[in-house]
Amino acid sequence: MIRSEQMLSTVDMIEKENLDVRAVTMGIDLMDCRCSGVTATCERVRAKIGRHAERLVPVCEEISARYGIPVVNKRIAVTPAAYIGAGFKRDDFVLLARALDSAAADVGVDFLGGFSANVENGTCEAARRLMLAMPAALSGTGKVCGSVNVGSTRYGINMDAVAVMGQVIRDLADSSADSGGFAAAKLVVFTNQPGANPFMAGAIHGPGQHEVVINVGVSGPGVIARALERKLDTSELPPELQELADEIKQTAFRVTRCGELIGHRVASSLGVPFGIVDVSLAPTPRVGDSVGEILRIMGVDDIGAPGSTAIVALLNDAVKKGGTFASQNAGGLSGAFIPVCEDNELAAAVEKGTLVLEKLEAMTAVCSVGLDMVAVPGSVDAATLAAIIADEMAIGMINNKTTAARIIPVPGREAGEFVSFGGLFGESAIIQVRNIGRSSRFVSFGGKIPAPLQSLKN
Amino acid sequence: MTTPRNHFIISILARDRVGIIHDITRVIRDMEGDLADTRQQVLQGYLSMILCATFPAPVRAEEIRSHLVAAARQDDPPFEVSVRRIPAPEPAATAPVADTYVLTARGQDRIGFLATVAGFCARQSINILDLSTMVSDGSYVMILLVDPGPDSRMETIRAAIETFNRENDLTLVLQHHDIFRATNEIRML
Repeated sequence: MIRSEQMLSTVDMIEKENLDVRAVTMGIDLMDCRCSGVTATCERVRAKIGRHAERLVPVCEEISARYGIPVVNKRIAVTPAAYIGAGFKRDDFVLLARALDSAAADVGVDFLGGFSANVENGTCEAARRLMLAMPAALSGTGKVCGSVNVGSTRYGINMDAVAVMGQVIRDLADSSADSGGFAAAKLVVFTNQPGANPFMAGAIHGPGQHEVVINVGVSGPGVIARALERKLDTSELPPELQELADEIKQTAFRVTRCGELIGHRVASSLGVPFGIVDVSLAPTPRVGDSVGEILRIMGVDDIGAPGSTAIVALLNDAVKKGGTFASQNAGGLSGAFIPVCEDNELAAAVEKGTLVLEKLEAMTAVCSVGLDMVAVPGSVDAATLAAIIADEMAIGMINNKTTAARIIPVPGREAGEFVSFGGLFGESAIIQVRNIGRSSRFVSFGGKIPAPLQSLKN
Repeated sequence: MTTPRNHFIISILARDRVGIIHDITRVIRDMEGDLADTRQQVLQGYLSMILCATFPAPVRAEEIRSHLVAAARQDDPPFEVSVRRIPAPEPAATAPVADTYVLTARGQDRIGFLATVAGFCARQSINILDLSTMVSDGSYVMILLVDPGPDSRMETIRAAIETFNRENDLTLVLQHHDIFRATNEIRML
């Protein structure tokens, strides 16, 4: 028997605290769409996506209405395009991106991820051509997102690919200068990229997955923030940190359960297997839906003040613990995201100058993703971007975790100026990058950073 | 051959005290009554109980009532008892159980709150299966377990709730019962 106060707290989670299912993402394997010519391949890609994803949006809406829980984004993740288009020319990859874009538009999803390649141990020709096609492919389409896995704990970091990605991000930003470099927001560079991940821009349907699958990303930083506030308000003595961690854990359990329920219902209604729940705190620019706010509630007056990294570590771990117990299959990125533009409190901390790039990087060592949605000055050159990426990848490689970089150089604007990408992508002041142009000798060596030792862990 | 048995529904209102359930159920046992579903609640020191039971065929409703009334002790206010013979319930239906929902209503405490919400449910053909209300932080809270009927009506009902919330000084929220189970129980549905 569920007690009345439990019922009311569940109602509040959804009505007042921004609990939602952030993304229902259908993974579709496109390996069998490859045929001799690019035109025929594109046609088969469109047909297969249409066949499987035709009912995705209406079914999500129906389940969402039945259960009274918003499903914010409906998305598709596909086999990394470098596999589908191996042997294609650079321009053919652009055509493939357009086919993916129109397939996504046909079925009405918000985004499609998988214009991607894995080059963790070296760059094959197909991956190279795909990476070079990225500026035209991503700036010329609306819904297609791309990602490149440039490193892993197993293989080290492919620094040649990192250098290319620095340039690709520059080109993407320049090609979308009128929207503040927004095209760069549709590209993520990874180390240890998970093969099944519902969150954009890094969603792919990697090798070793089902033919078609439903993965779900939950969120709810607002729910955690309100739960912590209640805990602080109602405790007779100030709670100790393990009590706050426990509150986060229990709340993450409840949040994840909603995603698990909706995901299972969507999958069974579509007749496809249910894959994973990504147990994540993904903020939105809405007030009261912020991870940064949780840091302030947990005791730093300004985000970025000493202690911020320790709080993110506690938060990330507690979210994983609660979420994994709630789900039959937790996966993806699972943890706390700190995407600057998408989180109004993090963005405000950048504007105020309390959160600097170096501290943000430190926090990414213990969060679940990395340098995410960070707007940097348009004057940052490709080599410096590559070096920022290399630093972030090194954190993931050494710590055996996923790290990612989604950096947006905003053309024509400098640190402290403002950029707005609209909707869930949010807005932020542009963060200062120190020592611009001081890393090019390092980047120009190329080659790779060897795989790290898995013992003598100090 | 076993004696045929008749089905009865019994409702009792009495002031709550230690041993009252024993006094009531002892009477039923002594009359060879066999209890099926029962519910009881205590509010403001008063107990309300509703019981389904079968009794051997010769036992009549009035007989059960008078025995139960007599179960009151001297210092108890009189028990209010009503007993009604009902037809034997149908065997468990094979049709799938309809989805149940939880409707919560919150607003300032005022006369007619419950009637307003119940009126809304009646107009929308929403069947109320269970309801409880409480006063919390100066506002009145109702929690209703409801059966809104087929899924196809959900869109209409949600639109009606939106209109209702705009036009009234209280807020209705309708959510599937599974959400509450998923977020509050260890076992996954």
